[in-house]
Amino acid sequence: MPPSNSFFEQLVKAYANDLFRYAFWLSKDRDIAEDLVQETFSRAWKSIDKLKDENAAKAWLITILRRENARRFEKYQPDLVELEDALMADKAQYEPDEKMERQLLYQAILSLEPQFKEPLLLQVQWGFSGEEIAEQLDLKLATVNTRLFRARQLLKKRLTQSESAKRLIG
Amino acid sequence: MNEFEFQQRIQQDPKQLDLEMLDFLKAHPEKIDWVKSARAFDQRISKTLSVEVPEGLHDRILLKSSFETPAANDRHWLKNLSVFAASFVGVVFILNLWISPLEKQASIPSGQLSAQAFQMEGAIIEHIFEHAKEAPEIMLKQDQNIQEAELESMFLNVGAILNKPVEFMSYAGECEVDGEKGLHLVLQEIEGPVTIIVLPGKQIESMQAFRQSGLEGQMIPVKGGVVAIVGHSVQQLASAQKHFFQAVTFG
Repeated sequence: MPPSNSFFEQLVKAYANDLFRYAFWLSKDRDIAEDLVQETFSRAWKSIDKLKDENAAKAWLITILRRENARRFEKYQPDLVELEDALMADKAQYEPDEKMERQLLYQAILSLEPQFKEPLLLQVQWGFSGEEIAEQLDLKLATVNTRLFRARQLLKKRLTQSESAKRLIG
Repeated sequence: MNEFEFQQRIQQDPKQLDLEMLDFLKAHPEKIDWVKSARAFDQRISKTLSVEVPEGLHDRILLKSSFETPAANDRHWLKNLSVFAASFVGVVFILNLWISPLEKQASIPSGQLSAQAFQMEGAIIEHIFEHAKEAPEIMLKQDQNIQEAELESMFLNVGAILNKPVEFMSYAGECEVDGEKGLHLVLQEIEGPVTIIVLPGKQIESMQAFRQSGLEGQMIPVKGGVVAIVGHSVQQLASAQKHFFQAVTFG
C-alpha cells in the first residue's frame, strides 16, 4: 500500500516535538536541532514504504535522527559549548527559585557526556525500557543500567556543586 | 536484595518496581521515600528536557516533504509530471489538509473567518504592490540601521518576541494593512525578496495558501494574530518561514 500523506502527517504531529528536543540535547543548538529533525523527516518520508509496523515508528525515527547526528560529526566538529542561557532566563512563567533550579539542571544535563545523556533521554523523554535502549544504542542491558545510574548520579553531583558555587557567590 | 542494590535499581529506573523491589519495600516501608525522591528528581529532569519547540516546526516539515517524493512512488508519477507541478500539487494538497490550532480569542463563525481571510489576502497583496510602487528600495538588499531595542519594540507591538536576528532580513517597518497596524519585513532569500507581514488581532481558522497577481502566499495563524508570507515561489516561502519562526515567537 503506498504511504499516505495523512500517516506521515500523524508521524510529524506525534514525534516532531520530542525529536526536536532529543536533537537539541544532543547538539546543544536549536538551529542544528531543527535541521536534524527536518533531515530526519525528509529521510523518513523518502523511505516511508520501509516502515512495515507503525508501532516501530518511534524507534525508527530515533535511529534516523541518531544517524543524521553522527553524519554531522563526520563533516565537522563544531564548538558545542554554547549554552542557551537566554532560553531559560527569559521564561517568565517560572518563579525565581524554580527558574534558578531549572537553569542549573538545564546546564547540568547539557554538560552530561553523550554516553550518559542518551540513555537518560531515551528513558525519561521517550519512555523506552532498558531493553529498548540497549537495542537502540547497541549496548548490553547491564551497560545501559550502569549508564542510567551514573547519569543520575552525575546530575545530582553537578547540581550540588553548582548550588554550592551559587551560594558562595551570592 | 540489600539496601545498596535497591538504591542502585531505583537510580536506574525510578518508575520500575519489580517483585523483588516490592518485597524489599514491604520489609523496609521507610525506604518508600527513596522512591518518591527518585521519581521527583526524574520529574524535574523531564520538565527541564521539555525545551520549547520552534513555532511552525510541523508546518515546515510538511511543507518540505511536499517537495519530495516517497521513493516507492518515484517511478509512477514523476514520469508524468514536472517536478514543479508535482511540488505545487503536493503543497496545495497538504496545505488543504493542515489544521493548525487557532488561538480562540473570540468565537467568530467559520464563514465569517473565511470571508475575512479572503479580504486579508487581497489587502496584503495590495499593500505589497503599494510599497513596491512608493518605496521600491525596501525590496532590495540594504543595510537598514535599526537599533536592536527599536526592532524588539516593533515586534513587541505586534505581540511577537524577537529572540535573535531574523536571518536574511533586510527591512523592518511598521505598516497598516486591512485597517490594522502591523509589522512589515523583507527577507532576502536565495531567489529574491520575500515579504512577511505580521497582523495582530486578525484570525484565520488554519494555515492557508493563496496565489494572487503572480505571487505565492501563505497565511499562518499564530497566538494573537496572523503571519502572512508572500514571495515568488513556494520554495521561497518555506525558506522564509523557517528563518522567521526560528527567530520569532508569539504569545
